[in-house]
Amino acid sequence: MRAARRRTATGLALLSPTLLGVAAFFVVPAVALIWMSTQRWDLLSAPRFDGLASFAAVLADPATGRALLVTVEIGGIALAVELVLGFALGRLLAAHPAGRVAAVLLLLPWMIAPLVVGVIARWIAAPSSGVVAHLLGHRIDVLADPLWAPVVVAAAMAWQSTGFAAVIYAGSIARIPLELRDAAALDGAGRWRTIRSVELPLLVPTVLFLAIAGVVRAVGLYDLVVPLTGGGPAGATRPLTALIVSWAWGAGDFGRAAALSLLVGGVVLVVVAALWLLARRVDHAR
Amino acid sequence: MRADRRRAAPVAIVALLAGAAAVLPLALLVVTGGTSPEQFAARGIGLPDPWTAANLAALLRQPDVLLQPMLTTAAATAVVTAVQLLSSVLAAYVFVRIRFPGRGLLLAITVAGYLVPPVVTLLPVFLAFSAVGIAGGFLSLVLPSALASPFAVLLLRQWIAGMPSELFDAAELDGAGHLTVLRRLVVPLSAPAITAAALAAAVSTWNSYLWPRLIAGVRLPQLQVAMAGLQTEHQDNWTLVMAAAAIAVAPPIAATLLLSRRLIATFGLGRRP
Repeated sequence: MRAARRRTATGLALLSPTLLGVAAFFVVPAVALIWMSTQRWDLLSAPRFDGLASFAAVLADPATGRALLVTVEIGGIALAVELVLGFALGRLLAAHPAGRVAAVLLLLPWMIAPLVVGVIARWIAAPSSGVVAHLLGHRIDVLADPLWAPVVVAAAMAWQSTGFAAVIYAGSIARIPLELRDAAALDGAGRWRTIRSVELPLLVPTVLFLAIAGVVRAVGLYDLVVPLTGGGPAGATRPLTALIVSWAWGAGDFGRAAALSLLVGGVVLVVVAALWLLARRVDHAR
Repeated sequence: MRADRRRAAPVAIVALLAGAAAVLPLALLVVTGGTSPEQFAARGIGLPDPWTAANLAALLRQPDVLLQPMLTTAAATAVVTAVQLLSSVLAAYVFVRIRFPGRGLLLAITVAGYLVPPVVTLLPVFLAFSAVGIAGGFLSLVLPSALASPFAVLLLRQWIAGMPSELFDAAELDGAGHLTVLRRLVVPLSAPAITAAALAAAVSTWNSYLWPRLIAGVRLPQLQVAMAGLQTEHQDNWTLVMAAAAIAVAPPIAATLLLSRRLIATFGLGRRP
């Protein structure tokens, strides 16, 4: 009994720095956010109770839906590229010792600040002094086009994350026992059949991890957009995070910003839970 | 396996080409940063002839434009990385080795932190820091990410859980306490995972923009805030902006290259020591 209590005390003591951080910068802010979202509050007047009015305002505002669509579009394109191209590259990396050198090179974009990636992408796409304009030999302004601007942002995002995905895939593929692939080959399975029936089913947890990380990253999308498009043209690349920032720090409407923050956090948890359940079903089906 | 070997050379070439394609934009940074503005205006992108340090010199002449922010960012990076690693190694060890009631719940709460996008907790923390009066100071930059890192805890926990339990049993039989086990056993054997966690902490602090901009802005400008300012201020002076970008990305890239062997081991490529 005393040993058990001592173990609890030791465990809690060693955990205390992390727990303090989690409490102060995650649990308490989350609770505070719930309170804030029910207040009518700006920099001039004291907060007062306003019920669910902030949530109603957030949901009624067309900017909310727009920002959600932009986030899903940019994040979706980037994640699709990352999952598919990353898998192809990951197989290459795992297949040869030279893959280790390539893996280090592929990781470099991942290590760069998204803000700097935005600056580089801005320069590549700049209308007349940019790399693309230079190669084409004439002026071209894709960032002013509401259809293409999100695609450029997604491409920059994918450039940054595909190499990382490839390295994660490669690590998982390297752990697949060779006997499994040899057995498939003996059974007469071709390359595609081996990928579909042997590799992909074993990679479900890897894909799940990458997808969850992709969702969290898409919702946090901000730094990349600031230097690249500034959210333009006309909000075509303004993601959810940018909307929250502009409501809170631009308009000073803390109640509405808090309500949207909560909704965003809630949506992420629901999406992550759905992904997790889906992965589990795929895993059981095989 | 034999078919694999026959395809080996093309596979290596394609993999290396993909790696080269990934770093091409970074090479362009250096090339453009080394070109004089006049030459860039005249013929656009290309190998500079001759290479010039003029852009670099222009940046260094005004230390508050890039150097000063870089130094404070380096300090913040060092503090966050050191504190985060210490707290995460301790936490990961407890989550593997010290069983007590409620531990699972605490782990779940810590892990959930990884799923919460940073923007969600930004506003309350910002208001709290402003109310206490530490907004804009060094502490306000490092505090939110220094103490707890769900990512580092998860990564290290995974690694420690993979260590053979006989090792721990033997150490405990010898009467070693938790701190001794941590110092003599866990830390030395976790070098690749600790390296990866340290790199992740350092890189994310070095690269962070939104929080430093909101909480400190231009009062105590951090590197990425300065980069954003430079771009708006010197629109279309691409040679200067690219030289600055090249300096800004150099430390994370150098660190990645230096630690690449251990990093690759953590990802499961290469050999585990």
